[in-house]
Amino acid sequence: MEKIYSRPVSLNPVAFNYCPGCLHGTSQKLLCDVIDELGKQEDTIAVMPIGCSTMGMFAFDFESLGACHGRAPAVATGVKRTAPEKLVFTYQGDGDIGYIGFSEIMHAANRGENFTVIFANNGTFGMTGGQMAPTTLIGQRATTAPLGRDPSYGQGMPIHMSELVASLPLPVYVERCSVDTPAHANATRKAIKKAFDIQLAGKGFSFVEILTNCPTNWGVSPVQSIAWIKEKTYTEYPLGVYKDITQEG
Amino acid sequence: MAKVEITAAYCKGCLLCEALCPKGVLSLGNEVNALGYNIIKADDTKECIACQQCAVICPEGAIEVYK
Repeated sequence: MEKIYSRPVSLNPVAFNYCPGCLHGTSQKLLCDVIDELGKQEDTIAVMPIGCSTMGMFAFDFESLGACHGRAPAVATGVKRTAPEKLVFTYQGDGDIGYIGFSEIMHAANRGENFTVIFANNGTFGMTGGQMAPTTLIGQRATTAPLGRDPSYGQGMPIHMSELVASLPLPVYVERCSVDTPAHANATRKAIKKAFDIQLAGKGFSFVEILTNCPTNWGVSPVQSIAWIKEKTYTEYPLGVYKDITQEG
Repeated sequence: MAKVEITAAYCKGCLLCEALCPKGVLSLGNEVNALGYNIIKADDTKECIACQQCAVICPEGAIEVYK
């Protein structure tokens, strides 16, 4: 019998530090799979932020460094400018990219820096205990919004990062994907591959948003969290390509 | 003829694979791994069709598929 699906080589032989059923693991596994396909394990530098997403660096078998909270796009700018031949990406969560590092991501995108941002959106601050994130859905409960997020109570509306980044002139490729089903996971893999290809061709800034889950802080089982994404997250965050100017000019 | 192989050390028993398997090959077993989780087991009497859905979604990369 021939092995037709194997664990990525650039993933360390350890279990992820995530809770059971956390799709951060699936997203990072897909990332490693793409890096294996490109043969870039030795030439990749991951810039990790603060939050659950940071723990990917224990699993990645390539260079990675940790930035201050939210500052990963600023650090990645420096890394990419000093080592333009490397494949540089950041892997950030929603609290990191939408609250603390909002300025860094928007300005890195506005400068059209030649690196890739992978944004895992699960609508909560996972590591610190389920506080309300900028992407928390209306009515979704969080420890800092115990009755559910309510805009009339001064808690604001969910931030749509892909649409915001796509509204800038210089980003080349912006797509929102999901990893809730195998088909969507394969589409996400293609999107990451495309974003990395754009970076390696020197075309400019690419942004891939991945809708993930947080069974622990949503208070549901992993299987129920998949149904939650289908039922609630998709209506707020529709999947699709928000910007792709690789075909023009 | 196809089969799935589960690496016991990585599995956390989240059951995402069990929910996806169209042939009911995967189910939660009694074996407990070093992390303290009950791990998934593959039933040899049922026919795996190597659709790879379980392996693609597995957040731990614990499943490998042979055909």
